[in-house]
Formats: sequence, C-alpha cells, structure tokens
Amino acid sequence: MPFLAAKFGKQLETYYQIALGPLESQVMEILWMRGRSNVRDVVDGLQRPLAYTTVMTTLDRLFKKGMLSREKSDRAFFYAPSLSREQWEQTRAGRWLSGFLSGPKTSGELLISCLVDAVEKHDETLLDELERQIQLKRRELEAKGNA
Amino acid sequence: MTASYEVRLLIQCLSVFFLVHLLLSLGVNAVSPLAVSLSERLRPIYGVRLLLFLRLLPILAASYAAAAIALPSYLRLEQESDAERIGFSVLCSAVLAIAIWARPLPRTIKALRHSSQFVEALLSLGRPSSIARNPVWILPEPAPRVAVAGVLRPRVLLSESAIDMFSPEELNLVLLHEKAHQRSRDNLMRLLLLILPDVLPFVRLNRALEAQCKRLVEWAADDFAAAGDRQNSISLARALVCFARHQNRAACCILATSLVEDDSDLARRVDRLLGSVETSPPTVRTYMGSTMLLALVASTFAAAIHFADLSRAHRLLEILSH
Repeated sequence: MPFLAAKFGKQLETYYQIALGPLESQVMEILWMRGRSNVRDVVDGLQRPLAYTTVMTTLDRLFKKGMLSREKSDRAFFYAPSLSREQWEQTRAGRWLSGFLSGPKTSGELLISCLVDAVEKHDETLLDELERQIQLKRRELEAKGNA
Repeated sequence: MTASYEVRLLIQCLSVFFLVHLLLSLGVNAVSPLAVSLSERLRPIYGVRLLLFLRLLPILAASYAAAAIALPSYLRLEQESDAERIGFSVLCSAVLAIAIWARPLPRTIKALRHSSQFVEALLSLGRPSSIARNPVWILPEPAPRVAVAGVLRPRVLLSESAIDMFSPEELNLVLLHEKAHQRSRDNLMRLLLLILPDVLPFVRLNRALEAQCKRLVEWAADDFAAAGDRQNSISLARALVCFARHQNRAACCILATSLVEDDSDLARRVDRLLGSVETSPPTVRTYMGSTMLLALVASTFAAAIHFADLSRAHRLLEILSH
C-alpha cells in the first residue's frame, strides 16, 4: 500500500509491528493448510529450497510473535497456528485501523478519504467490466442477426 | 395485580398479540435464509409475493389471534367479576406488545413527512410532461435522476440530464421500468415494511427478507421493461450501468424507488438481463426449505382453526394469565 505509506508515514508503525515478512507469510500459509507440522514438513512444503536452520529460525520468530504454539514430541518441536487465517486477518485489519483512528484527527480523516477513493475506484472498475460485458453481448446478438 | 374486567380484556388481547407475533417472527426468521434462496428460483414477482407474505405472517396471525380468538372467547366465556388478579408474565407481554411499536411508528411518521417534503420540493422545481405516452415529471437537475416518488400517488420523476443521457430506446425502457414500480405500488410496500413492528423492542429481525424483497422488486421491474426481448434486455442493462455511473447519490428518499438504488445488486441485475445467470436445479436444501415454509404456514393455520373453538382458546388464556 505505497499510497497509504506516503500519506501516513509514522502511523504505519503499528501495522508493521504486526505485519509478516514474505517468508513468515509463506510459512504461515503452509501451517494454515497442513495444520500441526514440524520443521521438516514446513521445509518440504516451501516452493523454494531453503536451509533447515532458516526455516527453524523463522518458526521460532513466529512462535515468539505469538502466531504459533509449539510442543515437543520426542526430540523435535511441532508447531501449530495460534489463530486461524480469518482471525489473523481480522486482528490485523482491526489493529491497523485503530492505530490510524487513535492518531491525530487528520490521520483518521485521511484514512477515511483514502478508503472512499478506493471504494469509488473499485466501483468504477466494476462499471467498466459490466459495460464490457454488455458490449460483448450486443456484438454477439448483432453477429447472430447478421448470420 | 388486580384489574377490572375491561383492563383484563385489554391486557389479555395485547399479551396474545405479542406472544403470537414473537413466536411467528422467530419462526419466519429461522426459515428466512431458505425463503430467500427459494425466492431466487421463482419468477421475481412470485418471489416478492412469497417474501412479503412471510414478512406479514406474524402480524396478520397475531392480529387474528387477538381480535378474532382472544377477544370473543374472553367476552363470551369470562365471568364478569369486579376484579381479578393478572399474572406478571401476562402484564409484561402486554407492555412489550406496545413497546414493539416504539421504533416503527416514529420511523414511519418521519419517513412519510420526509417523503412528502421530498416530493413537494421536486414537484415545485419540475414540470409535468409526457414521454412516449408515459406521464412524467421533468426536473431541471444537472445530475441524472430517475425515480418513482410518492406513496399514494406515485409519480415518475425524470431529470433533464437523464433524458439527455439515454438513447430514445433506453429512455423508453427506463420509463417502462419505472412504470412497473408505479403500477405495483412498490413505495407502498416500502411503507408497509417500515411500519411492521419489531420482534422485541428495538430488536428487528427479518432484515434479510426485506432486503431480498426490495431486490426482487427491481428484478421484477427489469423483467417487465425488457418483456423477454434480448435487445431490450441489453439496452436496459446499458442504461442501468450508465445511470449508476452518473446518478446523484446524495439526494434520495426512503419512500422513493430509484432506477439503481443498490449498487451491490447492480452486477447481478446486469447479469440477469444479459442472460448470464445460471439457474441451478433445485437442491435438497431447497426442498427442505420449501417443506419448512409449508410446515410453518400450515401449523399457523392449524393453530388458527384449533383455537377457533373459543372454549379451547379460553382455557389457554386462563393458563397464560394465571
């Protein structure tokens, strides 16, 4: 969200505190999909080859952030997500929004104006798409009429 | 609490009204997701009737139970004694029967007042005219407006900018769409939905049913205008998208029907008109839904017949009040 970053600067701090890095996100995706897994399972689930220790460090970091719970079985740790993906998205959006709204009044107003802009942009895209579908149908009908 | 014969009669009737209304509202709320999904499989006009019937069922049945069962059974079978005790629960439900109107009544009065001011303001700005033999009220507004306003005398309002925006064919279809709203008295239906009492004071269920009802009303008007013609459907779809892009969203009224009111349903309306909506065959859920709806309606009628025997109704009232 670069346009937000440009507008809000320091206000994004809260967001980054709870944001996940690319590898952390991938690891979380694997754990949400597979459920309880050990480091080896996660290494196997990753699309790119990564060192066992790198993945182990990432899992440990996620555990410290409270994103994962872990338990020892034999000699290996098994990790499981503490939150479902939905709960995580909800928490993230909630904290991010309240971070802005609790800031100076202008931050809240700017955020709302940005959201309105985004919704309007989304609406315009939808209308363009509908217009395109209508043109397509009209051409189909004309082609049928000519044939 | 002890009360005189007349007060007891009033409290009993109110209490019966509240209990029947509460029970049936909860029943309707339970089957409403299924009713909504079922209504999408019917022709929109029948879907609207089904949903409207379900929405009105609690108040109709409650009024019937109070006026046609509780009142006569009490008058005929209750001994006219000076004073008698009234149970706390009966008293509470009688109070709740009044309290459930606390929000709908002011809301309706406010909407009616706003609607009349809205129509008056627009009519004073505009002039009556006729386009393709359809009487319309032309407004000199810069933003496009196509709406039907007025509850008892619905009028089609059209801004000059809207006339310029549509092609003659589109304009004709748009007017047919509005004519459908005018003929089916959709603003009156809106008023009806507004005035229906809450289930409990300030607790309103059945919002999904009402939203779907409003959606289907638009679909029915689209179908009326397109009249099953592919060319008409495509032109109307284009008119809807064009209008959605330019319409004035700020100035609207709860008791007026605009050409595109709910943007969230626009894509669905366009898909329907373009014939891209796939109708899937009825599922087990639909059959179950139909059965549950039928069961709810049948049990309501069965109860009405059962308690038409006033002695039975009176026995139940005695149990309730003591």
